[in-house]
Amino acid sequence: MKYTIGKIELINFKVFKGEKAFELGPGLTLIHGPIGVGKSSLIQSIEYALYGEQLEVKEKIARLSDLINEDSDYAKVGISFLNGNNELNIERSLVRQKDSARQEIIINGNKGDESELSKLIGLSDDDFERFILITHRTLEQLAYGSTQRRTVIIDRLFDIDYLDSILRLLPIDAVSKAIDERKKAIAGAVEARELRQRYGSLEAAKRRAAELREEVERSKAELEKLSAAYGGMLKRRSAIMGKIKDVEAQYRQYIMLSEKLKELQSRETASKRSELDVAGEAEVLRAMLMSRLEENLMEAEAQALAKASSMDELLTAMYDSIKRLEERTREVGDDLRQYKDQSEKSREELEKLRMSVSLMDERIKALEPSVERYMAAEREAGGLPAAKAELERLKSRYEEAEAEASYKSALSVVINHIKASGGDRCPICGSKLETGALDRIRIDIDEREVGELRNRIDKLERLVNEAELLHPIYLQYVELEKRARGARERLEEEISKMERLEKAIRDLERKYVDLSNFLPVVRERMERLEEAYEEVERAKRIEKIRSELTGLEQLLRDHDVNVEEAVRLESELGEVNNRLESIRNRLEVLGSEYMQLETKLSKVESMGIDVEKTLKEVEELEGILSRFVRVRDGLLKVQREARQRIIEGLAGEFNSMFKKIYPYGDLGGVAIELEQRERGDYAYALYAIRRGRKVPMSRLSDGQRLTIAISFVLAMYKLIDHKFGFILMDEPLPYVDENVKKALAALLVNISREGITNQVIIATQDSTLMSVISEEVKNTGISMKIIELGK
Amino acid sequence: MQAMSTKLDEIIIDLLRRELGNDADLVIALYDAYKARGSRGVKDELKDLLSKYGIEV
Repeated sequence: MKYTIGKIELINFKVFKGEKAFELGPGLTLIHGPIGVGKSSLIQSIEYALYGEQLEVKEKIARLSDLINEDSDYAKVGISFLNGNNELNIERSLVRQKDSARQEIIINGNKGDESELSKLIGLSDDDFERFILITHRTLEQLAYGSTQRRTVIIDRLFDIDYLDSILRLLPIDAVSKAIDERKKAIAGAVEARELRQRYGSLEAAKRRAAELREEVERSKAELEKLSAAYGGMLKRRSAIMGKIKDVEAQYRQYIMLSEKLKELQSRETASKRSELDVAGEAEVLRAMLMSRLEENLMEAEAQALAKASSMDELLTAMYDSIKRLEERTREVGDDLRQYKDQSEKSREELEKLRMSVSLMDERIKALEPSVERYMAAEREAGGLPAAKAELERLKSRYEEAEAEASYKSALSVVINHIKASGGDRCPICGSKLETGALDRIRIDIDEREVGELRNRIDKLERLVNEAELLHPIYLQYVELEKRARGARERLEEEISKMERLEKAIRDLERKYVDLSNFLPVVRERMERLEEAYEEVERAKRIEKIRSELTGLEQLLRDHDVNVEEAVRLESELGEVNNRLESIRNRLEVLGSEYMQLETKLSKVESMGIDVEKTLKEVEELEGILSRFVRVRDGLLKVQREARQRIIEGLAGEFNSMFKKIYPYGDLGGVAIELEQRERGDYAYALYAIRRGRKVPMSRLSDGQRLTIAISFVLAMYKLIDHKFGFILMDEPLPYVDENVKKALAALLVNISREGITNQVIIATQDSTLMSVISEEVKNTGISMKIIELGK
Repeated sequence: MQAMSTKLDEIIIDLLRRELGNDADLVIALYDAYKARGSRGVKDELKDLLSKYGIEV
């Protein structure tokens, strides 16, 4: 069972002045009356009693004190909720305190508090407003709103409209615009950065631009001046050339040789060695190289060096020899390293061998006393095999001698017994003894022989035992001796090898050091020799040119040519030409830098903003924009997922509810789906099912749309776990025609008949709606109560 | 479906964290602001972030 509202008692609540009491019944309760008589206040009093607030107060449209009638400072709302035999009585009183109000709560006659009440009713205020209080806005937007508006209201009903609000409020466009504006403003920022990097600062760049401008101007002026001078010189040359038509070739040769002479003279050095000195030094070096080549068995190189006749050939052969000797030095170095490695390994091997021999010697020395004892025993025994044979023989003899001695001893005892007893018979065999027989028996026992045999046997046994005991040691000794001999021989060989190796190393080291010291010295002397040779050759050429020039000069003078002036003019022309070329090149470089610098500076100056700060802002804003875009994409995904879950939770009950309350058979059910919109997000789409096909809301009649809207809110009302058996409708459909009102009346009857809720409370000023509801209820057995409020 | 919105909120917060990683903190701050002060709260949060760039929200 769930709570229905039995009675509402008001004192000075909103428009109700004084005490008022309203009895509500099960089924339908219509609160009817014109505007301003308190229909909405009566509905609002229910929410206020339950939660101590109501929508207008929460939305700050009104203050709590506004709930008290304006002619009073005190208000009270009392409501009896019925649940079978149980009753829940809630009273709230308000006392005005300036602009605010103090309130008190009484639960079932006792002072209570919000938490106690919250436990009793088990539904939050927000959920009450969404699921119990059905507003016309909800119904209208569900029934007649666009997909977007319907989506907004459904999201709001499920309290996920904040996702859409955050999405709409994300200022992605504003941030993009701000970035674009800044980027436009700092179009010259790259140039500014480059200028700073290159010149240190914008001020320094400006100074450089001024310097460049001055230098360009200077260079241009100089270029102009030199160009004019050059033109004059060319005219003068032209005049000279006119005079020397017949000797023009000679004139040109003279000028060319003069230039060449000047160049050769400019390369002259201080060193003045004669050709003879050079040849002598060359022979000395040839001899030095020959000896090294021969020492190193480089016959081909030695022969080539010996054969070289001209200085050029000799220099080439000597450089080749040096190159080969340098290669040889590297080879010797490589061999040396290899031999040293080998030597190191041999030394380690030698040490190991030495250690092994030493250990064997120690072992042999330790075995020597035992071996000596073995040798002595064997020597004393006369050789081990012979000693063993003699021992066998002695043992055999000893056994015989001992048996004989035993027999004689026994016989002696018997004879002595017979003599002592005086008997005439043998005490052993009983035969009669002849008289005097005993006297004839002589018994000689040789005990000395037995003793000697025993001693010899003992001695020989000791010797044989000792020899046998020491024999393995002896064998080990012999084997060890053999191995030690082998090891010593190998040691000798290794020592010999080591000595050979060390000798080879010493030889190689000597050769390496010799070549390493020799070659740089020879190379340096070679280079000096070559310079001296070139100098000699240059002097020869200068001499030759001078001689030619003298002849040519004479020829030109004979043709009335001022040779000095001509040469000077040619020289000046060359110099001016070079200078002009240099200035033009410099102007090109300076002009290019100046133009670029000016362009960049003008861009930077036109910005009029703090470039660094703006660049930083752009970077930060791009980060923010990128974050907002990620947030938007993520929110859209999450919103879709949340909406999908809502649909999954609601679709079954929505369809079931529709089937219960829709009175006709032309529609088989309803569905709700997510539909992708043009902007990429997903919205709720409500459909009716007609003959198995989906029909969108826009193609349904007003009554069908209304049924779908009410089915939707009732599905939510049913699915949510709460303790209220009533729904509240405050002016549910204010602006609809009579047909729709009739449809609503039919739906309300069906809702009551199907037991979807126990109590429907509707506040309306619409008399037609009241009439059609009254008409629809007739003969249904559903009880209906009308509370008529008047002015 | 009791406290559907509360459950949805929990699911949504989890989804946001999964989808947005570190950026979820911003959305959750906006969510808290919305719950406390509605759209005005969200605007104020964004304003705090953007006012220094002169961007109106």
